[in-house]
Amino acid sequence: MEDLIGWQARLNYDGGRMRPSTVNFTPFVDNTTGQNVSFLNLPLEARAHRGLITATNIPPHLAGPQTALLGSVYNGSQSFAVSPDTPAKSLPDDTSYNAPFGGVLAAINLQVQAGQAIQPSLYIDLDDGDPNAPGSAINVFTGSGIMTLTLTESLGDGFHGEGVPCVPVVPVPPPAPPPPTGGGAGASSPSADSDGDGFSDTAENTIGTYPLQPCGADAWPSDINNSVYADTADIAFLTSNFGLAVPPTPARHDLAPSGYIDTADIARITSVFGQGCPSSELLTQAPGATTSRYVSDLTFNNDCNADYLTMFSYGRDQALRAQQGIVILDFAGQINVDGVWGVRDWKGAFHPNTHIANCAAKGFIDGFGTWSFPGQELHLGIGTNNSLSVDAAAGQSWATLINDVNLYIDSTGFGNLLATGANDFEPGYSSSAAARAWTIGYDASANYRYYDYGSADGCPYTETSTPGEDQPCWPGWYQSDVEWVSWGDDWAFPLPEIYLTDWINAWQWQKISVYAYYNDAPYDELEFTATLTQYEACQQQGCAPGVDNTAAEGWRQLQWAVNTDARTDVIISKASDILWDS
Amino acid sequence: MNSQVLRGITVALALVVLVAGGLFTMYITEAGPFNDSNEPLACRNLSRSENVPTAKDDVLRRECEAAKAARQNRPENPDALGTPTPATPQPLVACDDWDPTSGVTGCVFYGVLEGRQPPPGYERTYRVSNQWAGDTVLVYAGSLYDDESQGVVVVMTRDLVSSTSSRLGEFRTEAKEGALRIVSAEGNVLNLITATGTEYTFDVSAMALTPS
Repeated sequence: MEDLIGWQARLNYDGGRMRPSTVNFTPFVDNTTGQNVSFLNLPLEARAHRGLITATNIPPHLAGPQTALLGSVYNGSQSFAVSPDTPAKSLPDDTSYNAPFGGVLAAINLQVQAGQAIQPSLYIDLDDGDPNAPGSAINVFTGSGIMTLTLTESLGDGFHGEGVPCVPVVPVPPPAPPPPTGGGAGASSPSADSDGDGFSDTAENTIGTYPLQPCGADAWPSDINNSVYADTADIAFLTSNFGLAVPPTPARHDLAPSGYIDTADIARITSVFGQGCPSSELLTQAPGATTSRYVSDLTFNNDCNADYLTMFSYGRDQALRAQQGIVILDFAGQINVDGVWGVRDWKGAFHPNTHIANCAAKGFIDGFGTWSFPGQELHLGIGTNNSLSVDAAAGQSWATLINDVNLYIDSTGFGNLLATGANDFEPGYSSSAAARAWTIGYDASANYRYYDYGSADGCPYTETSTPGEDQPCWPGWYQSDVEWVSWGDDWAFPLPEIYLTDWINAWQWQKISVYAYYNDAPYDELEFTATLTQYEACQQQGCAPGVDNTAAEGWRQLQWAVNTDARTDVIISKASDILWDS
Repeated sequence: MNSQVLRGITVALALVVLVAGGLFTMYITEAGPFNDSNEPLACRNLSRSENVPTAKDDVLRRECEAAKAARQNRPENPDALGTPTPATPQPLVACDDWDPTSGVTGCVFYGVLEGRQPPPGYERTYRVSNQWAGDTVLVYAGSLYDDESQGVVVVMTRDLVSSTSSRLGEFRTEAKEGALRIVSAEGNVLNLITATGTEYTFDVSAMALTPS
């Protein structure tokens, strides 16, 4: 036996004659540490033995064939060193113990019922899963997870003669219960673990958790009570249903789907005991978010003084909040009126590019530059979208606008500011051809980058069978189009919207990055500059359900998504959350 | 308390004031605009993200060079870049009547407006086909964001003075016949059609969506 994590024993017996009454899972004492031990927790780890999670399901005694299940699992993350071997491996992975001839897992006290003297031998049948599942089994560490080895009927049984010689008898197993109708289906077939939470998608579909969410309600199978952590409360669900079939026990408790609650399920919790759900630790590492804005309160009559002062206050506010990184000012869609390029804002007013540069952007720059402190640096993304006039001329006019604004920044001496372009590219807003044309126009006059703070609407969020194959997104758009406007274009840098709380946006963008990895040499995978969320905007005006990730949550989702895949693993150092100005 | 002790306290307080004054001066000196000797931000660390692959370094170098060039070519007077700063409020002019050479720096759209720009605050609630702009309301035609078969008309307030906006109502087609689109306007009555060809009218004054 090597690398033992846990074990369980199926006992069949005649409850009217002899039955298991109590189980001592640690029948020995280590006098050095003062701890109770069995073979399962024999290895020392930091000079102490591990605790055990134990479970028993011994029915009240009744005359006639009965069955019981008992088992235990060591507590804590799994490794070869803490998983005992007997005899030791040729190259032992732990030398804190010596068990060359096997080990004792538990001591079972048997209770002989009255009237058994001078009767045929009594028996305890150590059984497999037939007819009563789950059967006896051991759980071993494989180096990357748990393997359950079911034991066969050839296991040794026990016999006892009360006042007579002990003679082996043929055990009479209890009748088989009806087989479970759920659980276990497909559980043995390997499949991808899309969310990287240690459970395959197939298992999660059986268990009833979300295969794309490693954290959250019904997201991580080990966290049964949705407390974020894997702890005793979760184990209690399993120990209280130990040995029972699924259903009627909820599939949510069958963590190693087999159709029964057994030690393999318990081991899926004890292996991560006390840990938070995968990615939870990232929440504490999220970068401070800047405040981006839908600029929606410019005056209808383009009052430059008024708009300058409004935007000055926003820039000052940004500075006083000690925010740095990237800020998007979204001026809405572009349009050309009588040969003049500008934007049609959210309320149907036309603001020429000169007004955006000389009044709005200038106000923000002066506000931030005047009130900011040394080292407080900001990329000011002057944003539009692809919902109105989207062509090369529009792109070129926007690049010119950005150049002009940087000319102003340099004239002020505000060395902590850089104006960049920005575009909320949304597949649902325009054709992909129009969006690509915009980037070509932008490139023609660009001196400064632009950030794509858009979406990947309709793009796949799971791995396709052919990695790198261009998949369709919103009608008329492919992953290659989203990749182009966000990264493939020389001047493009991705700052994606991660709005959806169900992690779909994060996985869509991770898959865009996978596409780039295979198809966009030498740029390769997307180097996400930051994430954009709209939590504040939703607080202001309300949103459809499930689109209001906080800045930290949005960043966590994308950071985790790209971290789960070596092809897309990058550090995302910034985050921003957008709100409405008015 | 004797005079020697008092003198000692006075000296100590003076030192505290001096130190505090020095710190305050340093603070004032370091706050505020950066001086000209600083390298443009485009050339510093924030721009050269640790993530950027070598292949995009060329783009960033060009960005840095542009920033340096802008610094060399900057105008003597920043306002030369243009700060119209009109002293008097400008009139509101409809874009159809706007003359860019008139000195009026912008205009306001009315009527049927093409473009998929969603109503403010509802980017993930509706998908817009087009819209109609009146004096006091903006009417959007399209579908639900998550169900393109469900046609909707959304009415938002339009306040030409305060710039505020809020949703007055949402009106759905009885049957799911695809996104709505405004095809024409007669006064305050809009003629719409669904993706499957069913015609509707929306009476802006009555706020009523009815099949034609």
